[in-house]
Amino acid sequence: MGEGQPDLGGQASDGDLVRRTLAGEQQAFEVLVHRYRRLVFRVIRGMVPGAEVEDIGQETFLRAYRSLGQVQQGSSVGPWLARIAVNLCYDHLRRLRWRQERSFSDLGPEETTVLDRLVQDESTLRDIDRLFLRDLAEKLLGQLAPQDRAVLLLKEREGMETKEVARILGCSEVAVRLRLFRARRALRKLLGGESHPGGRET
Amino acid sequence: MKCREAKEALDRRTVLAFDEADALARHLRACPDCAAVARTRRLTRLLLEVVTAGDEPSPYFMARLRARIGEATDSPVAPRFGIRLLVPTLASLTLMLASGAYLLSPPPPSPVLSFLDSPAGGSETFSFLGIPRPTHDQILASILEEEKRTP
Repeated sequence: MGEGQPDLGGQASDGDLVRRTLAGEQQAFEVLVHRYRRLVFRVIRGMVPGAEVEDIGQETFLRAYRSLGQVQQGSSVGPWLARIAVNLCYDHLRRLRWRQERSFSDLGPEETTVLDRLVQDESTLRDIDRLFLRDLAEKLLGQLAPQDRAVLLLKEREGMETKEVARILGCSEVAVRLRLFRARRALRKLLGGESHPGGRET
Repeated sequence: MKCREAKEALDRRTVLAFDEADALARHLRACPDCAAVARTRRLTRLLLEVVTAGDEPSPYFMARLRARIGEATDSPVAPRFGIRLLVPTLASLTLMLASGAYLLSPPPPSPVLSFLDSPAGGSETFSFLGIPRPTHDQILASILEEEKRTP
């Protein structure tokens, strides 16, 4: 088994790969990892910042391997992996007490200016340093409750249907709509030209 | 186009048809509220893209994962229905049998009652700090002695 991308099963269905893994063919699991690693990493990056991403990614696939028998026949492995990743992110955020640590008032004057410019004219994005922008984006998204952020991520970034998001997060479709509404309203307050608490006052 | 239709169009992930896109653009120019919504949606997607963008997992990711999988188990846990039920069922059965055996068994003899019932007073089995326990007769004798001394 080489370090590179596994060569087998490029066209194999998820169900087939799951069956083969359960039969002891570890390489089949590596195809699944290869197939869904980008999705898993996007979800984790969207939920938690920085250095822990790779560790949570490892834990996600390890847990998936241990409980692969739970995958329902005929269903895609992607949403199931996303659910494991989101739950691990929740645990991680709970440990960090992420929301308490970050608040909008943490934005410095430079960040507030950039944000104002960005709100006025999105084309200024090109001129902004990527690391600076990433930090700013994390601070803004850090304003949202983890569950709201997860809904926003899966709907807006991954383009998933409400039903699928509800299945991943283990809640009702109404709850997904409510969380999406709340997340959008909060971001509209921050981005939509309304006053920036802390940023302008301090 | 009305505001509700504009917001539905903004929510849609597919490319809009030319007529619809044109109607949306005209509506956004005329409606500041919907224009603000559209701008927020664009910025939100942009922020999410920035946050989720990143390099591939490190080259050691798969090697580390393989090692951890190898440490954890030789094969993935495939929780079959029977096996998943077997463990709790066996545990419950054991508990029930143990409870039944306990409830049906005769109660252990009370030390006090067994002492009073035993003719010899159980002096050889009932001692405290190595001091032999007095027999019935010795106790009765000491009580009688005490009563005699009492005026």
